[in-house]
Amino acid sequence: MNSLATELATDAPAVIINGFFPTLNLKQSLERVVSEVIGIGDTTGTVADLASLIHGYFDSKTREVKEVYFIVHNIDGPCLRKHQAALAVLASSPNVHLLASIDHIEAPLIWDSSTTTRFNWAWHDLTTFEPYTVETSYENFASDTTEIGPRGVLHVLASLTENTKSIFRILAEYQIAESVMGDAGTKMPAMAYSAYFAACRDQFLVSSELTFRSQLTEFRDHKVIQSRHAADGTESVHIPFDATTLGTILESME
Amino acid sequence: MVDAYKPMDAFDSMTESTFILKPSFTPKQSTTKKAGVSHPPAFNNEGFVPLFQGKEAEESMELRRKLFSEMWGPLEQLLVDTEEQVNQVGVSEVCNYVNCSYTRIESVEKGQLDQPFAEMATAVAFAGVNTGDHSKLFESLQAQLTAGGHHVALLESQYCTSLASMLKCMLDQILGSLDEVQRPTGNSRSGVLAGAKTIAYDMGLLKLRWDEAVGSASTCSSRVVVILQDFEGFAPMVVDDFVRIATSYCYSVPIVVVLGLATSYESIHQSLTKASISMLNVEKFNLQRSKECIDAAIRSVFIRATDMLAFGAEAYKSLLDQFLLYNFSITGFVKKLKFAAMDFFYAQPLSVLVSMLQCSAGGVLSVRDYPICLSPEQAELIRMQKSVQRFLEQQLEETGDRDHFRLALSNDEYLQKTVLPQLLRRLVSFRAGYCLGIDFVVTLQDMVPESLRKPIRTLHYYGVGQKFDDCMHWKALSAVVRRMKVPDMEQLLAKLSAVADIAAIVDWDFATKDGLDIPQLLQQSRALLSNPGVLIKPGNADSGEPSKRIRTRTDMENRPFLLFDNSSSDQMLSALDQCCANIETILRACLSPYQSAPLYEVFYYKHSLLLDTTFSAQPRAAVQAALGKTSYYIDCDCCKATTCDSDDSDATSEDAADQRVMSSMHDTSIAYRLHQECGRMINLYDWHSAFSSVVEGESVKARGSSPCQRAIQARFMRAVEEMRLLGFIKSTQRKTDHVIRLTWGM
Repeated sequence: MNSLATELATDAPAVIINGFFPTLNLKQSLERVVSEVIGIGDTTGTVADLASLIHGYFDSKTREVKEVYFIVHNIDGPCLRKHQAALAVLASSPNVHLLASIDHIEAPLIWDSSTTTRFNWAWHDLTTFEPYTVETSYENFASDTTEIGPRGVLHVLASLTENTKSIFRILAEYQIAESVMGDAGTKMPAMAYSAYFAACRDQFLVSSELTFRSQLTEFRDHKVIQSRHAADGTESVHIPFDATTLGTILESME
Repeated sequence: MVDAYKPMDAFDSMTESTFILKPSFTPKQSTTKKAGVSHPPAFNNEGFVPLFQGKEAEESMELRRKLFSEMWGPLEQLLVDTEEQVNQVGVSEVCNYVNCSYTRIESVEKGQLDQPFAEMATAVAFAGVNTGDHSKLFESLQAQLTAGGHHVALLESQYCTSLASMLKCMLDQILGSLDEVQRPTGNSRSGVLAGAKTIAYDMGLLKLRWDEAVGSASTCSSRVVVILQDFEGFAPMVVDDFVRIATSYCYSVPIVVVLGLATSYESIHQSLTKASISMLNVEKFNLQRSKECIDAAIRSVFIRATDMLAFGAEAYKSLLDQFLLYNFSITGFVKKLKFAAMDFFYAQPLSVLVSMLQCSAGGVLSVRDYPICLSPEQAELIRMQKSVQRFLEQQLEETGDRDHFRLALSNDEYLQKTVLPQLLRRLVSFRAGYCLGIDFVVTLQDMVPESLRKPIRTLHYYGVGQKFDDCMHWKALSAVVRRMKVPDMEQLLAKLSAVADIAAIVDWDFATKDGLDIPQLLQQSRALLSNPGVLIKPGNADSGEPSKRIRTRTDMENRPFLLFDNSSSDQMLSALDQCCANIETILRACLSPYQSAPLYEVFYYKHSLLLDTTFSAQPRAAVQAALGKTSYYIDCDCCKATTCDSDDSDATSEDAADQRVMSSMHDTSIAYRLHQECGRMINLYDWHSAFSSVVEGESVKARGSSPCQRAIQARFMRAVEEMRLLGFIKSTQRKTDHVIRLTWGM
């Protein structure tokens, strides 16, 4: 598909969007299109506004750029699924030519009647048996910066003191015990702040609440633990992993 | 083994997701650059390429392109005009309602009890489920209302997600419309309003501007019309708030609301509160005329025969199914039609023959006098058509002219100058005869009970898809004709004669099968009815009692009027009988199958599979076929199963081959076939064991060495990740070493 952009579609600007990219921001992509292709700088607005702007530009008779080609790989990609209406508005302009690919078997479900009419798809089955090397290469990409993997936790713990590791171990063991005894499938068991502090103090891991709180802040900064506030104001903390992963982490720590 | 990851091409990046390519070549440079590039200039000539493996002449290709644009432009305009014409009725009704709304309030204003609230005039327009066609419909409504002097705002739900955005959209349009009205008076405030960014968009502003615009005029015929194009798409709270606000202003500003519904009135009850609905003065209108639209479109495209675009049975069924089974969308129908026309001119080398046809002012197709210049490949292709061979053999039988036959097969010039015009004349006459046959059926249907009437799209489907004697509908119509009494028969014959006179067919020899002269036959039938004595055979006495005329069961089935008609004589009944037979003969002759016409293989479009696959998305079927029945895509020898039992039929041996998992198959295909044997939760370790046993077990036999475990594990992981990408499985947090299977069947 990229060869269509580079070799055949040489009479007009071509925009290639990799829908499989895990941190694709369509808003930024459209802002780039507006500033580099159309030439309007400093645009603001939602994705829908930008799409309407581009559509309006290519409908006007006094435009400099006559046509544009959009090549969207994996229009059913995770970051593009909620922007189909905006893409449909783009595609409905007769001077915007859209070529897209899908891989998910249930991809047509992302379009409703009005978006399907606007897109006006003509389908082609281009099954090649090429491996999905590029699309699957983003598997370990940290797309969501609020999460940390088990490996990250081990890495963080390896650089901490024994006391800190023990504090972590107390919470992990409590969580494992709770999930074994409690129902499966409920929310992750969390330990109440006061109970956690009491347990750590009993084992002489912390001397005062201030040090305990600073320790928890350090964990929170490394995204090792998360805290919740209940409706009555009590705070509870938990590690965002399930029991099995926690068990693996504890074993690897020793 | 690839040690380092190498990008596939320049647009494969770990950091960038969007790339913009500017056209780097000027037109002059591009031609010189392209000279060195081996790919064909596909975008020249709008995608037309030379056929016959590139041997087609440039003029021929250019002719095909020209013919397509000449044919499609007027046809598209015709379809648009037809749609507008059909919708005009409903649109006019709504416009009349808007014109007449609030007049009663104005006239009863003085000296009558004032109601504590004013009901807002509301038109509920059922526009149908074909939401793709609604934009054209409501734009034409907007245009007509604006032309009538009203101020219209057309709102779509995607731009009106909140009350503020809805009011902004509405006021932008209405204030703009008011400004245009006021611009001749030089109102300078319009510029300020357009540029100001701190306008409070609320109804007070509308009231202010409306009072300015209308001024002190006591009566004003223009209204503020707010059209909610897709009512079901609006959030209920937003619409409810809007209705409440608008009703409080509708006494000072005559607001009329038009609600475009796709489903039914229930959706209004579901969205609006009882209090809001009670403030609406609702009138219902039906704008859903997609079936009339499609009938009009089919009549103008296929039955009028001003163009040679014709569809065979399967392709026509595919067109109709798209309309009837999906969402009654005219846009979808036109899209498929255009694609078929494009495919005809892009891919059929003999589409150049369309240039030999011309349409006269009377809407009749005829063959041009000057012949077309055919290349040897084109001439050979014409000779190879079965219908042409059959035509030439028939001519040989009838005339015995062996020289003509020999020249037609050997001499290209003779073929294009003499034989080709004959073929095309026959085809054109056949089309004209068919159109006349459908017109006859429509005329006949006017005289039958309502339950037996079928729309023209169904009649055309029977006409192209079924033989006359096999079609139940034609038989039912014939039975009704046989039950007709004398006055009805006379009326029917008069109507059919009138239709035949209007149809300007010159060559009755070719218009129908066996060269039947239809006007003459109709005249004979009419004469027979007025003077039945002609038919009487000497020696046949009057049988007396009517009931004794029915002697056999065939009489009862075929001539039931004998039972009911006591007043007519034997002669009259025989005359009626003869007329019925004549009408049946006429219909059978006109509605003969299109396979009897010469060159039908060229002019009757038949690629229904292409139409279906292009417009009905089946990605799941395609992927499952690729993984489960790989032989459809890759016909390789290594994956062909050797069947032990030679008595098996081909179908079962193919199924057996598909179900066997072989190590030579694609990795993802192996993983897919193995996962089909699992339940809802798939244990990844078991899956991996099965995968490695398939891969290494057979390869040991084949090559004597197995790939190493790490390679197999890597291949398995890649296959599982691809299955996840395709949507067959997903990971689960409940069991970490399991995945959930998402698809079943096949």
